[in-house]
Amino acid sequence: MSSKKKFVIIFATLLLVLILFTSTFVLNPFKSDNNSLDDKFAEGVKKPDYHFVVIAPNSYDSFWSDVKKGAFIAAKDLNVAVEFNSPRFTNLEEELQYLNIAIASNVDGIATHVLDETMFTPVINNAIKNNIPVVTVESDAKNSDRIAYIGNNNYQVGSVGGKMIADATSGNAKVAIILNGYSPDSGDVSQNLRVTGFKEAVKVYKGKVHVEAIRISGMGIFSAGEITNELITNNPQINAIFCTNPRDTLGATQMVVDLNKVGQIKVVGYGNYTDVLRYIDKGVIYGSVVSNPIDMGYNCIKALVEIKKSKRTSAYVDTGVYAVTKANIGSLINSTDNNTN
Amino acid sequence: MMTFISKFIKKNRIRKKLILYFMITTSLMAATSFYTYYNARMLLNHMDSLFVSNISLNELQDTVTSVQQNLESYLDTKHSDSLRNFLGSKNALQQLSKEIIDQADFSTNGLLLRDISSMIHTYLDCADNAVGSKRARDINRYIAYYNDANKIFGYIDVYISKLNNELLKENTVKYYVAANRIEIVQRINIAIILGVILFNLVFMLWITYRTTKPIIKLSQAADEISRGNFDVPEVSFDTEDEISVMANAFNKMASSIREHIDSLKEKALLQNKLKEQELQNLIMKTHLKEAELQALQSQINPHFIFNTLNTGAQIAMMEGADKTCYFIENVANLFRYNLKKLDGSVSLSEEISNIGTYIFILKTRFTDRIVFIQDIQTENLDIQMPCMILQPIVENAYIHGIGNLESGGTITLSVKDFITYIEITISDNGNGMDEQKIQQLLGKLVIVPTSESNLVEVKKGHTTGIGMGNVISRLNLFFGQDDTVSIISQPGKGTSVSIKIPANIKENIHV
Repeated sequence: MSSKKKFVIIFATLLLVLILFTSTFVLNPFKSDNNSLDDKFAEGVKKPDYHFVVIAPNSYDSFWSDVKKGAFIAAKDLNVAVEFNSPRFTNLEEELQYLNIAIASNVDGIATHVLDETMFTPVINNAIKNNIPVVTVESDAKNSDRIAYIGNNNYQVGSVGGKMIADATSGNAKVAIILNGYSPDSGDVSQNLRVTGFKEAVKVYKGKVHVEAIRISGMGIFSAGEITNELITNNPQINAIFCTNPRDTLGATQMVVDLNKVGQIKVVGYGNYTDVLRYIDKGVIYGSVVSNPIDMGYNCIKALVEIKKSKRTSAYVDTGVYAVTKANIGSLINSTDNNTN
Repeated sequence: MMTFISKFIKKNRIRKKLILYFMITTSLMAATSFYTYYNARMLLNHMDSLFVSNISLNELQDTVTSVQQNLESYLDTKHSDSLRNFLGSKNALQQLSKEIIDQADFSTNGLLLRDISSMIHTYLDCADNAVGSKRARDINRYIAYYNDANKIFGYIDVYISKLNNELLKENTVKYYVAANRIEIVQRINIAIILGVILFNLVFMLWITYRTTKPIIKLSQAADEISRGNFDVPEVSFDTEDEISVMANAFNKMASSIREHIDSLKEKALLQNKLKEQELQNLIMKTHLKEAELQALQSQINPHFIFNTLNTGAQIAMMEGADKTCYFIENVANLFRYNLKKLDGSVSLSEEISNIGTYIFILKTRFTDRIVFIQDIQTENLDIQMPCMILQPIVENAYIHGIGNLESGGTITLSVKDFITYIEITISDNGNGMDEQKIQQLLGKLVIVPTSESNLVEVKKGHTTGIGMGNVISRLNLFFGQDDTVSIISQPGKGTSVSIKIPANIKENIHV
């Protein structure tokens, strides 16, 4: 065989082998797959300026996923490291423990949800005493030494909700308000502010929109449903329900559906869960009071950074609420479809 | 330089080719093996790395636990051993903690690690304070510090567990991802291995065929040749190695053998032809001789003379002329003897008696001019010889030898027995002859004749036309030799003609 043919064959063989090798390198399973499961923050960051901790009440609520998202965006923008901790299910001791751990870990700053103001205040104060700045998110411990509160105005929540209830019932409503409380008899100030705001907002209707009952729900979806059941059964005149918590919204709505009272009882809820939005879209509930968890997350980190850098920040950051009804639901559905429930 | 390189490459080409091919297959297999090994190695390393962090975390947890135990033990017992242990484990923990901080990044897990490390720091402070208070016997304080330390120990434990969980979750996912990819890689590996094996098999088969095909062809051709079939077609290959060198040499040898054989065949043919020609020539000669003899014999017609002489003898007898009758009878005998066919054979005794007759006649004619001496020394006279041999010789002896002598001429006939041959010599004391004449008579010297000297020529004084040449020829032909006759003579000193007759011929040999 001529040399040329021989060379061609040898060359082709080696090329083939080379291709095989490179292809398997490309498919190399051992390239460290550093995409961590959850966060996108990871080790791409060079040494961050500060190490902050954000403490949430639970890990299943999509609201807090949004807060986390916002916090991490701020972290990347401001070059800080953010730790996001929460108990798996709402649990006072656990949440407090995370707070204590954060203090013991001597982090640069804490942004925390407040489950129970009474229990949280001394711990927050302890943190402040240890030179760790604390801001509260979404719920406040007003009497503590916390430096700032980032969240929405509970009064505003009630106000917007009241307006929507009035719209939903055309100014003629017997309303039941379901407040979210950790224990059914906790005297949560923030919740009461909502009631105040609500009442103020419906004042113009001169009593035609009247708050018949105020209940405080326990944790989880079921309690709101039971309350709804009891309300409807025992107070048949009620034709509107205002929930101040996403889970409660879903629970109450489900009960309304089960009792076949859709349309008879208008529901205004809280939060932008996918299911809530679907209910709005289908007309099962009238609307929802939506806050901006992403903004909350972003701003709490921003506040902490400001505190560290310039020793002061504004004591109150209002991330605002707005009404979502069928009219303006379109864009929201698209953007929140990514949220897991 | 280039010629050197190309020569180097050409040298031992077949070895280089084989080595190259083997190296190709070997290196392919080696590469495959190494690749598979590499994959396994990487898997192992990866699995290692997955759990390295878990292992170090466990170590940390153990160290913290031992610090706590030692602390409790000291606070309970205030034993110096416990204190020592506490300090020892505290140092170890500090060391570990520092290492952790150094290695931790700022990922979620990294932040957890950092927290753990900070907590360890805080914890150790509390523990130290507790120990200090204990030694200062400040019970309240040490209890307070101890509680704090305990709390923080709990927190550390919580975080370590949390981190372990996170790592486990991550590692599980990583593992599954890796396992899936491993599946693919394994399949590719198998495919590569099978492919390489297949390729090697095909390659080796192909190479073997290629390399041995010329050898086989060559051996077949050589076998053919060894069987004697020289018409093998040319063996040719297009490789440029030693085998094609062999093939070329083989072709050359085969073709030269062929040529050689062809030329041998030609020679053999030629030789055959030559032999045939010779045979023909011999036959021709023989026929010629026969013709000679026939011609000779046809000249002589003694029958008439013989019959006439017989009549004359009878008349003489009736007239009472006894001598005349006797004389004429002798002549008749002579001519009767001459009637014999020349190709027959007679015994020596017959020839001798014929000589006697002839001599009587001569003596009668020439009275006492000649003396004839007969010296027969053998009894073995039955030997066959051609007829009319001795008489012409004696005639020659008389005519040319002593014919000119007035008196005292002697002719001697001697017969001697030499066992293997009989020698007959006829000698005279006459003129003799020179060497040239001797050679001419023997037929060895050819003098261009004016007429055929061997054939019919009746000379003056001769009874027949049979000359010496004829006699010698017939003798030679009869005995199959060409030296039957020898002549010794010198001018003026006489002549001696000797005939050697082989002694064991008793049958007729027809020429």
